[in-house]
Amino acid sequence: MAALQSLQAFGLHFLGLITDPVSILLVFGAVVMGILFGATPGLTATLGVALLTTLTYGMDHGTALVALLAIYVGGVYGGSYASILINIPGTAAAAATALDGYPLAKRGEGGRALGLTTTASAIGTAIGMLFVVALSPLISELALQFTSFEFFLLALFGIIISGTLTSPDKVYKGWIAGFLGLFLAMIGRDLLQSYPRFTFGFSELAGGLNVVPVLIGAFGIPQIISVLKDRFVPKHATKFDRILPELGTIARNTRHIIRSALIGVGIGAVPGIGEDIAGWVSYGAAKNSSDHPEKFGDGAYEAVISTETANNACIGGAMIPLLSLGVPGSPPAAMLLGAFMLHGIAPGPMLRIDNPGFIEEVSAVLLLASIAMWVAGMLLAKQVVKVLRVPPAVFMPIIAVLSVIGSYALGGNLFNLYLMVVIGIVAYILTETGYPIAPLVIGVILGPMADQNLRRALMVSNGSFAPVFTRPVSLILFLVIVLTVISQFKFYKTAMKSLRARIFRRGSRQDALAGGDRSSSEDS
Amino acid sequence: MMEQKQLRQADFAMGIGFVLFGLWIVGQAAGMPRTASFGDVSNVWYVSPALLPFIIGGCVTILGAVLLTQAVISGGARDFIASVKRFRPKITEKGLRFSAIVAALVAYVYLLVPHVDFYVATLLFLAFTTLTFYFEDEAYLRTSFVTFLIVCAVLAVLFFGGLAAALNAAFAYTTDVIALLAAIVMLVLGRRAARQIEHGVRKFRLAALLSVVVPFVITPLFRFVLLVRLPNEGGIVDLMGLIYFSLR
Repeated sequence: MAALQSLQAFGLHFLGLITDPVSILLVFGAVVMGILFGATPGLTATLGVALLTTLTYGMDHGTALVALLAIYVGGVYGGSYASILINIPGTAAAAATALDGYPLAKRGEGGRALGLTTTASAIGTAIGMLFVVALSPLISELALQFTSFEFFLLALFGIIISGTLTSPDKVYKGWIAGFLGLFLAMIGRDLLQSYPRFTFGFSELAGGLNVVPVLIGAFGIPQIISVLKDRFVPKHATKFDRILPELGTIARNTRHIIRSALIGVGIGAVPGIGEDIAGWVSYGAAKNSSDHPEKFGDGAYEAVISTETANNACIGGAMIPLLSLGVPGSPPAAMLLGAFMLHGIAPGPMLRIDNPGFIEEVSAVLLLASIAMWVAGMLLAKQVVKVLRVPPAVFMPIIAVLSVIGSYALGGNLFNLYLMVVIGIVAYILTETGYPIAPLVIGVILGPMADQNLRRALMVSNGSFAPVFTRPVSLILFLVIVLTVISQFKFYKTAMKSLRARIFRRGSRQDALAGGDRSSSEDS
Repeated sequence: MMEQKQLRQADFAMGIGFVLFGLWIVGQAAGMPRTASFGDVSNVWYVSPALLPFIIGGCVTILGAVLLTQAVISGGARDFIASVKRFRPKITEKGLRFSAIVAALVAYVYLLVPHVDFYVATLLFLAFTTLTFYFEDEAYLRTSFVTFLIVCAVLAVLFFGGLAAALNAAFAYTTDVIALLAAIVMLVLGRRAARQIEHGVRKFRLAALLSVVVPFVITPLFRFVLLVRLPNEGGIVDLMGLIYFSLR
């Protein structure tokens, strides 16, 4: 019954969108903007969502939602243009697409590759949307049973897993980034006792750090600095003919699409890790299961289909924990969380109670955005490709100006600007020295949740941590966190290796003995 | 990201930094109410605002120590100390570009936007950054960077030295005019250099056009469409307002 109601709400929202010319124009406009952001090396979907957050601040939440989700979908897809045509990923999400997309373009099949990625991305987004509709309500229901211990451990899990999986160097650098984010979240008056922490007498810090300028600083400023500090080397985009939907090739690769969509949704649902990891994991899985793995790296169609399906399905996956638990599944989703909070929407288990129909509204927008992305990709690819010739020195300073005025616009507070630059420069230094930014951002966002829930949980249990071990979900989360941490240590890896070797040896010995018994029984 | 060898050296410095930072957090947390009452609310350790800061400080200290230890074991510490001993200040193009963009951002946010008309501040920022980075010429980079630093130093003296108030008392938009003249200086500098640079004239035209047009679009968009009161509304923004409200 609830499922039928949900489907009805989804249908009504979708119908409302497609019959409203303003919504259609907005979706197309935002998708094209997202494609431009994604296609341009140096710009990211996260930055696009960040800048649009500030521009849509004054709009009603429905309009803002349409614009933000559309730019997110377009941005993730747009990265494939640069990957295929100039072998430079437009976004990290499209890095795996370059491996086979560029060889396809070099042998004159650039149009075909773009057709495959456009259709695969649309399918991936749509499948991700289905999971949002199906799973978010279920997880929200489950999360309503959660107590403070579960929420604290969930926040800690988000930070630890994000740090573990996104760290480009040592894994504990990811954890350090996460704890730095938690520290930033501690600044301001604490929510239970109003005690000022780390404010140093600044009244501007009493309310804590404003999340959106922190996110813009953390994601935008390092990007601006790292793009401009290197000389621009012009790359000539490979020419291509018409882009066709390639439905036949897509149909022949159905199993790759389904597997990649599941990978994308699964990875998107893990806090903090994003579309880039979904792309790589899907590429690896496609290669392992392919009938012709030797073709991978030389322009295999399954490769581009798999990576693009996965990275776009990841959008839906990232929305699931965001909407049902208030935990963003990817950096752009973290930016979306900031945008939702600005519009007075608090994602989490109470979302369906406070804003009934919101999940269905998000799903309807995702479906419309995937259709708009497909249409825009088919019709406008040749025009979009022209942006690849624009030197970063021309648009990056403009992005810097938009970041500055955008941060200021949220609250009209100059202090946000001052903070944005400091955090941006620190984030740049961290990025250069091998620290991931996603866990830092997750820490900033989940810090208040971790703080309040830890103290509330201990208040209820009178300082006892026993409920962590007696409540099933808490115990599972605790064990997963402990396992994630200790699995990074050498002693654990050595122990697992010797255990596997022992099991394997025992298995071989048993086989050998069984073989010996058989031969001796045959002899007798 | 840096190369592996440089990363290990950086780990040594960052490790020390994180250990100290973690200890500082713990020290700050120790000063927060743990068992004493605060605001007439009696406290216990598990309700204390110091609880999570203690955990964060402790974890950062431990992880910083791990980072430091790994840096020492891998030879990063030794290499770092050796590189400090043989350090000779050297200005490379990459270093100059990095310094230029950071200086531009810092000057724009801390000096220009709070004190100068938003249009003029953005014009000056864009005139410096687009020309400098679009020309891709090291000689011009040095000249424009030095000029920009001099301009910022003059403006800093005006604003933080208290002279701006006196000048603006005589004529309301004096500091905006000075900043505008500075932007014009940057553009003239770019125009002169354009002749010596490959495709310089074409690049100059585009950069100058963007420097003038982009703030012309952004300023009214945020001020009159999105209704965001700008950080500093000087002569140009007031003029735009006059035109906008006359036409409405």
